[in-house]
Amino acid sequence: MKDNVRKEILNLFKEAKEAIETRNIKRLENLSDHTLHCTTIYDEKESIMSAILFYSLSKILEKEKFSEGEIFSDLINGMYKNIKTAIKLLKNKRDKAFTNLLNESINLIKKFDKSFSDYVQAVIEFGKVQKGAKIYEHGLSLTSVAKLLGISKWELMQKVGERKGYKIKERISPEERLKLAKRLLG
Amino acid sequence: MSVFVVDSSTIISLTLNCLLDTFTKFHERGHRFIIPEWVYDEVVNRPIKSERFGFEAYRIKQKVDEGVFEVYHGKISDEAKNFAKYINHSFMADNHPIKIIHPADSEGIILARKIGDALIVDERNMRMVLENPIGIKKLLQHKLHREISVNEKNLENALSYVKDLPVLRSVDLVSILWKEKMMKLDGKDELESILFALKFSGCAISFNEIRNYSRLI
Repeated sequence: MKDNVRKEILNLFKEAKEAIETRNIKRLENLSDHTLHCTTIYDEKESIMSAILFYSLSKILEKEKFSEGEIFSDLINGMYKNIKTAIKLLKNKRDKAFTNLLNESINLIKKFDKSFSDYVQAVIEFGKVQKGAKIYEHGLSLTSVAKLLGISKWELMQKVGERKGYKIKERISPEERLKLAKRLLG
Repeated sequence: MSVFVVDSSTIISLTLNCLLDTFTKFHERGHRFIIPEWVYDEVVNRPIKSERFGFEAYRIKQKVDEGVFEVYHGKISDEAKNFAKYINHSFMADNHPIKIIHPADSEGIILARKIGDALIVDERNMRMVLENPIGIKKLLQHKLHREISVNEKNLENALSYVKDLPVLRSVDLVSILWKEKMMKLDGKDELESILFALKFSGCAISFNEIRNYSRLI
């Protein structure tokens, strides 16, 4: 992993640790979005995996807020422990171990409690499409985004269509475009 | 008669709105629609195995079987590789090149330049690379909250491969079809509603453009 990516991800994990301690769901969600800047520039799998992890965690914390009992505490404690370990691994530049821990953490969420696993699976898949649409808004082509996340363009197209993107001034006016279309298709 | 290379984004947005016959109607007029092999994989081979988009994939396959779409089986050319290399080393954030397009995208673009009269693509970023690369710089700057530098030489090299390649979108095809009364829906409100449906399926067109299309056509 490149040094600057590692440094950015390390800072994000430090913030994620604090967000879990204070149960700050919004901050965790924002961190997930911030991670996408890193993904857009450096095209590193670890940053998109971190974004999905933060997003899933924010949804789990949301669920915890409205649930009774302690069914989520084991999972959240486990994730908190993993985040602390991830910080140590990043500080020591142990990239491979960090990537394995990221995979392990996502799998831990997926496998947690059978009744809950469908929900989490859906959250993770939804998170991928959601994050994918955001990366597309950052300027990457749809194919690049689909390959990066391992999802189909079919899902992405629908999500992209729902969102209000940043407006770029068109260089070709509607008059010119229609004239061109008429010439080529007429 | 024109030859078009079609990106998967356009096939997807038209299929999602049951407007795939748009291609058939233009094909009957003698126009040809070429899709690279990887686009075929993306719109037929992979979704045909899924529960969610299997039916759509079968409908597209039918268009291939009928000859409306022709699949191009050639390999990625050196020009496509070079185009991707140059464009992906044109925009830099923190001295790092941003990989904007995938080599598969550039295959479609170069194929359109070599054998086609135009490229048909609904997604915004690929079209912007061709029509308004400086717009991409502004977008990156806005979204990444940092200065984006442009390697002019690489950008110039990339654009030399695709000079003046015309680009159309699904909304352009449908508007012409509507204008020439080749659709069952013939009111302006109906046209607008179709254009909005395509927008919400991922075709890059603004609300203003839709109003303008409806006024101009």
